[in-house]
Order: sequence, then C-alpha cells, then structure tokens
Amino acid sequence: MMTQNATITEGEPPSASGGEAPALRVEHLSKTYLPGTRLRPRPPVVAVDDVSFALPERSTLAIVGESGSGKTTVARMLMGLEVPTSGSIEFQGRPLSVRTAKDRRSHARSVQMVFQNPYRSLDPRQKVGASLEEVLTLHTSLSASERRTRSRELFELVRLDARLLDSLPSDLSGGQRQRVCIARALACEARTIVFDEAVAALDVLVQAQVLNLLADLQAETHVSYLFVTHDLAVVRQVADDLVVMQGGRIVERGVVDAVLDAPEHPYTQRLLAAVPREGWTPGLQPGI
Amino acid sequence: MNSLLEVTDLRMVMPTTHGPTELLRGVSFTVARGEAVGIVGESGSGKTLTLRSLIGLTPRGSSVSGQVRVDGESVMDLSPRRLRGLRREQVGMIFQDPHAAINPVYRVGDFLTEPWRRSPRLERAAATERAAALLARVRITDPERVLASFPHQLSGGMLQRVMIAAAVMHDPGLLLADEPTTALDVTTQSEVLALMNEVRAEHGASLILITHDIGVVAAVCDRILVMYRGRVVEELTPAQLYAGEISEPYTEALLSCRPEVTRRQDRLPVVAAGAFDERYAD
Repeated sequence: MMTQNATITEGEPPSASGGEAPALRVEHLSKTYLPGTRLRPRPPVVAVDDVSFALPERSTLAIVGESGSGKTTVARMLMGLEVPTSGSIEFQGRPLSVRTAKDRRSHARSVQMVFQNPYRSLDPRQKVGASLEEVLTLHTSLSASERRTRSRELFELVRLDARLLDSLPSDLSGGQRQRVCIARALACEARTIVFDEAVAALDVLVQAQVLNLLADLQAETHVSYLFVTHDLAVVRQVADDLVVMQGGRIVERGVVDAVLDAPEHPYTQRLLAAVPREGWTPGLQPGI
Repeated sequence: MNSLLEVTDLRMVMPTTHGPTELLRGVSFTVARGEAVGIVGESGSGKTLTLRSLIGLTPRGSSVSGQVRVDGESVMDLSPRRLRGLRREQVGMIFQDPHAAINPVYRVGDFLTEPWRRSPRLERAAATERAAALLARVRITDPERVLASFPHQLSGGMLQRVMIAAAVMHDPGLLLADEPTTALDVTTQSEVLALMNEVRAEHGASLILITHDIGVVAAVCDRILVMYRGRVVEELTPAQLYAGEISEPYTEALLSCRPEVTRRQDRLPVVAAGAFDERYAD
C-alpha cells in the first residue's frame, strides 16, 4: 500500500522545471538477490521492489528507511555498483551505462557518492591532497599546478585548512575526513551527489557546518542531492522531497514538510515517533 | 556516603611530537547510586577518555593524575587483579559498534557463557541455561537461535541487546555506555534505550551515557555534563535544558546547531572552530 501525500507523482515531481530532463529519474527499479550457489540455491531475496522517483535539478530528495529497507541498495544501483534486476535509471535523460571504462568515467561526472564511514572511504597511505588531485587528473585537463590550486579551492569550499592537504587520513578527525570525501565528490563537478548516511557520523557542530555548506553549494552550482538516511531531523533541514522505504518498497512519498507534518503511513508515523525530543521516553515496541 | 562514583580533578597528559598535550584538564563529578548521568560534547572533548579512565583503561604513555573512586575504592591504586575484578563484576560496559566489540569468530553462546565457565566453573549446560535466562532479560524471545549464531548473523540492534546482556551479567552497580545507539536506526535506538532503563531499574544500577545526541541524553538521564576540551563546562538537568536555563554559550551552541525534526531552519547556527577556546582556557 502506498499513501500519496501532497503532490509527487511517480516520475513527475512538483518542482520539475518545464520539460527539462531531471538530474535523475528512476523507474520501476527492482533488485532481487539469489543467495546460495547454482547447485544449492536458496530462496531469492527481493531487496528493492518497483521503486520509481525523480530528482529535479538543484533539488534534494531524501530516501528514508531503516536497515533492510533497500535504501542503500537503491543508492548502489545508481552508482553502478549493483546491476538492477529490472527497471531503468537515467541521469539527465541518458540511461545509466557502466560497461566500459569511458562509460564509467562519464558516469562519475554525472553522479558521485559520499559513503557513511569516512574511516573506510580514503586510502590510509595516500595524502588527502593527492587523493583529491587524483580525481582532478582523471576528470579534468588541468595542469599539475592548476590541480594544486583547485585542491586548495575545494578545501576552502568545505572549510578545511589548506595546510591539511599534506596530511594522511589518520591525522584527521572523522569530521575532517568526511569533508575530504565531500571535496572529492565535488572535484569533478558532478550534477548529482548521493549521500549514504554521510552526515550521521559527524558531531552536531560539524554536521551543521556541512549541511549549511551543502545548501550554499546547491544555490551556487545547481547540484542535486540524494540523501539516504534515517535521520528525520536532517531530512527536514536539507530535503525538498521525501520517499519512505520499507521492505524494498516505497510506502509514502511527498514534499518533506507535508510528510513530516502529517505522515499517513503507519511506518512513517512510527519512525517519527521514535525521534527523541522534549517529553519523549524510549519505548519497547510490540512485535520486534 | 551516597555516591557510587567520585571523580576528582582527573587530568591526563599525552606526549606528542608537538610536546605534551593536555587531554583531560581537571574533570570532577559524582554519580549517585541509581542515578543516570549523560556526557555530551564534540569529538575530542574527552568524553570517552573520561569514561575509560573510570575502569583504569588509560592510553599507553599517558600520565594521569587526580582521583577516581568507585564504591569508595581508588581505581588508580588497584592491583591488576582487583582491577580485573572491578571490570568483571562492578562495572558493565556497552560500546558503540557491537559488531566491533564482540569477537566475530565465536558464537554468541561462547561469548556469553565464557565468564561462567571460568570463574564459577559451571558445566556447559548450566552456563548455557544462565545465558539463555540473561537473553530473556533483554527480551530476546528465541535465545537458542541467538546463542547458536555468530555475531555477523545478527542485526546491530539484536547484537547490542547481547552486549547489554553481557554488561549486566554480574549485576554491576555501574553501567558505562559509549554511544550505544549511534549506529542504530531510530526505532531500534528507542528499544535499546528502553532496555537499558529496564535492566538498570532491576538492580538500581547507575549509568553514565556518552552520546553526541543531546536529545537522547535528555530523555534517559537525570543529569547532563557538558564537556569541552577535556573539562566539564556545565552541569544541568534535562528540565533546565528544555526550559532554556543554560548558562554556558557552548551548551547553547550544541543545542542550537542541531537540525530539528519539527521545523526547517533557514540556516543552522555555526560555531567557528576554537570559538570557545578563550572562554574555557585555564
């Protein structure tokens, strides 16, 4: 069952500007895993089941759900890290293709991803400046000195001291590392950035900085964001539209303020009720 | 004497390549029996170092001064043997990532029965029976399946329950929880917090809870300590927090820069790095 809150209809979002292809369009996307081996198959697992949504230019969509809801699998399919069982994915009107190295490079310029764990996303033996320049070497025709300058600019953009370019990841805090990852994602000027729980590990002061920074960048560069998260406060702060996933399906969708002010699906209501706030007491829920 | 825990002027200095660095700069607080105290602060504020010092787990090479008394005993003066006893029986610990804290190559049953197989030297069957009863306390309905599982076969929420079960195995007077729900979904977080409340209430244990989510601390704790750069800068109750009776700008900043689920802010207030250094200098 799916509740239609407010205005989003499948594939035709409210904020889409007339006729232009959205940054990202996903239609009837499904992913079924076949665990076990060919000789000893186990029952198939449906991780994502008929998911459709669109992400207009310069907007932010949040995919909300708990572990097992399929939200990370959706993100991984967008990145070409998983092959969909069925359905289509289009970036700026062009179908996703990651067959050749050239395809993958051009795909990397349309979408970048920032992962949950900044401790595992960077090569521990590579200086963070070098890891930024590597991206610039792959995706731009800048000279070595221009790359160095651009790296400094990118660091400034994410409010990191340019002196840290020569640090190893192990010299940086979690928040600093995550900002390096964001700078890397920005380096090739991708039109869409996917954040998979990417601000969850930051402490509140850094998180506020990063969220403001992302809002500024969007205003300046027309980049679109896809936030995969279970933090509804972050969703309220950054997202325009919201889809709620449970068991691989979308159970509710709409404009963020509409859904969070008046959630219709019981699952959304349950998620919202579990957010700590004044007067809240943690409770055991039946059936889990 | 009603305090279970007394920390007095705890200091820690760590030698680094840039010279000695003060990580804890005179932390003092007490925890009464049955009381729940939360510690909040940004990363690097010394929350975890403080918590670990309480059971004598200080980083190699650091020099520590001050006093930590658990149940009247000075932790820093304990023999290694007594210290192990303290960690085993008087204090229970719950960590952030249960998958990292529990040995992945043993089954949950081995993990939960090991202490009983060793110190009271119980037979396997008797120890397993006790472990199953323990899991029932954390409301696991199918203890046999969980005991036979390896950690990777269980969800984060389920494994965090196992860790709580292990922490309360000897009915400790003090529970230490370091970001116990940060890695969990909101509904699972709610359950794990409720469970911690429940097991704590059974024996009137005290709790020290570290988290960066001030909302969680306010919901679970009687008192909140705010730490900044190795020092407790403010102490307040959840009621005071929500009534806005906050005296320190750092506490104010921690509270105001969190996004809220009920409304969107035009911009989140931002604090420049080191903005409070002067205020909280020595």
